This record gives sequence, structure tokens and C-alpha cells, in this order.
Amino acid sequence: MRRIHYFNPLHIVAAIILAAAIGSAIPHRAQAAACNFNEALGNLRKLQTGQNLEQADGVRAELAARRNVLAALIDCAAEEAQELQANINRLEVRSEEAKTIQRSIGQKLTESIAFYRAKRASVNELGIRGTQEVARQVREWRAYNYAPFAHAGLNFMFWNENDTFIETARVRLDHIGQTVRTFKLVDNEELQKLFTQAQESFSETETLHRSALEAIRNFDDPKRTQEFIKTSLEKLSQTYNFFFQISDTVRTILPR
Amino acid sequence: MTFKEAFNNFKEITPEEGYTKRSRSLILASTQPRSSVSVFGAFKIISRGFQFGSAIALTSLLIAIIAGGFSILTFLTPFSKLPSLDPENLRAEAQAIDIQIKLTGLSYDIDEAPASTQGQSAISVPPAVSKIADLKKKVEQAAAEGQKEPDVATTEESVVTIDDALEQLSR
Repeated sequence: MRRIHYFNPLHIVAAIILAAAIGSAIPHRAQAAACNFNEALGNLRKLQTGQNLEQADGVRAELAARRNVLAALIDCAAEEAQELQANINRLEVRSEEAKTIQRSIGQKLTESIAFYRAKRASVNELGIRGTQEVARQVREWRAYNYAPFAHAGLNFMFWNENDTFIETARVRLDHIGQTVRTFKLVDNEELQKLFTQAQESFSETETLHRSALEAIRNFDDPKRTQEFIKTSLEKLSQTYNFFFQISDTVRTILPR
Repeated sequence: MTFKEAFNNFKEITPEEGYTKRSRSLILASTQPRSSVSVFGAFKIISRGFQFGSAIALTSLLIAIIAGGFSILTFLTPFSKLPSLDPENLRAEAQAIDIQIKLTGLSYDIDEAPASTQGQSAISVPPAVSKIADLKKKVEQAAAEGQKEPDVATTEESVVTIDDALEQLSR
């Protein structure tokens, strides 16, 4: 299949404007700088090696540093979850099914934020061993519990944006179908073949898009979901290649 | 007779009475020119204005056509009446999809989370939404500059992730 590449900067600017108009703008996190722990961890390492401190002072200083870093880490993790939740809640979704999934992911993230708050509240009561234990717990909890929901949230954001692209393509396919019928171009064998191929490619796009939503709803393996999302977009791109070929063919058929 | 006396005599000079009457009759009998503010005169002025304006407009259009590399024939073909097949619209939509494909591919890799102790499958936490927003900007910028692949390498200081920091703190 011939792959058509177009790199006219004006078209790309138009595509970006279109994408911006279709997709929701993702805001920057206002406090991103606060999530840089390099310096705090460096200071903690110095304290652990006991530089210039008596033993008792060293333990107190290390404990204070550990509590501060742990509190900042949990705050940052909670902020990340809140940011994701805010972005998901803000999405404009078209179907009731998608709205249900949007609420479900939002609820899971609310539970995650509650977990972080509970852990954060206990930080100032912890000893050195306690900070080590809570850090381990939070890390494991994130890998087993938070990560699947966070992936589902991000995948849902991509899915919803793709939903708009797919709806635009559906309208275009309908209009092209009407054009082909109105101008009685159905008798043209090549055109008929291209139109059928566009319909089939679009149908596959829709199937993969539905599978992606199904996978998000079930909190399936995010790799599988991501694969559905990516493949559906590739099929959609292929559908547009057929649209281009139909456009070229119609141009040669119609009188100039 | 002095010059002054001769000059004063000029006052006494008058036309012949018969000549005066003939001249008056001829003047009154002659056709008078039309007033410049008559209806026909105003129409002529407006008509001339239109002619001048049309000439300017047509010249401007011709310059626009020549300078803009624009073919009026495109508006006269049946193809121009098919917006659904307009290549410009198709390109804009197709490129928005291409940008989304690139973004989906680059956004994140899902890795196995290291150091899992529960014997279950654990995965790494995805990047924050703000990082994906930054990536989206880079992908769009690369597309606008005609680059095939966006430059996603960062020159900023390598920042320890939340999970790596938690791991260090657990020791």
C-alpha cells in the first residue's frame, strides 16, 4: 500500500490547531520544581555518613531529614494523583459508557489520594526505622495499586482524544459516501474499491477503539490497552490514506 | 486738447442704439447651456465614478490573482464543490492523527517495577500528566519544523523519580 507523506508546514500548523481544538490542553503542574529530591537525598546521605556531627545529634538530624524527605515525597505523589484526577474529570466524553469509566477512574484516584493523606499524617510520629518501612510500603503500594489506575487514567485521556479524531473521520466517510452517490461515481470500479477499503479500515479502527475502552474499563494490562490505542490510530491513519486516494481519483474523473 | 481732456471724452462714447437692440435680441434668442447640477449631470458624475472604481477594483483583482498564484479555475470545477474531498482539510486531519500516533508511542514505556516482594506483577508508575504535556509540545514543535522525530532528550539535570527516592529512603 502506498504510504502518503505530506510535510507542508502550513498543513502541520493546521493539524496542530485542529489537534489543539479537538484535544484538551494538559496543564503544567505548578509545583513541579518541588518534586526534585536530588538535594534533599544528597543531604541525607551526608548525614548518614556522620560528617561533623556527634552521634546523638547525627541521629536526630537524620531522623528530621528522613521525615522531611518522606513527607515531601508523599505530598508530591498525592499532587501527581490529584493532577491526573483533575485532568480526567475535565474531559468531555461523548458516550454514557465512557462517562461511567471516567467516574470509575476518578473514584480509584480519590482512594489513592486518601491513602497518601493517611500515610502523610503519620510521618511526624515515625522513627528512623518507621520512615524506612513507610517508604517501602508506599513504594510497593504505588507499583501494585496506584500504577494500574494511573495507567488506566492516562490511557483513557488518549482514548478520549482519539474518540474525537474517529468521530471526525466518521463524518468525513459519510460525506465522501454521499459525494460518490450524488455524482454517480459508483460505477467507477477503482473508486468503488477504494471506498470499500476506506470503510473496512474505518470499521477496524472502531473495533480496536472499542477494545481499548473495554480494556481500560477492566483495568487490564496497560501494555495491552496501549497496543489497542496505538493500532486503532494506525488504522485510522490508513483510512485517511484511502481518503487521499479517493480525492485524487475523483479529481481525475470530474471534468475540469 | 490735453491728454486729460481727451481721456475724459471717452466717457461720452456709447454704442449705436440700433446695434444695442440687435445684440440684445441675439443674446436672448440663443440656447442657454444646461446647469451643471441637473439630474442628468449628477448621473453622469456618478457613472464616471463607477467606471473609475470598477477599473481600480478589476486591476486590484488581477494583481491579487497574479501575485497570489491563485487560479480562478479552481472555483469553476465540479471538484471545488466537494469539501469532503478537499485535500487541505484531509491533510490537516491526517497530520493531527500522525502527531497523536507519535505521542502515544513516545509517551511512556511500561516497565516491570523492580524489587517487588509480593510475588505479584508490579508495574512502574507512568509519568506525570505535566511531563506528557511537555512531550506533546515537543512532538508538535518537531512536526511544525518538519522533523521526522522530536528531540525528546532533556538537557536538564536528571531528577530522581518518586519511586527511586522512596527506594533510597527505605534503606
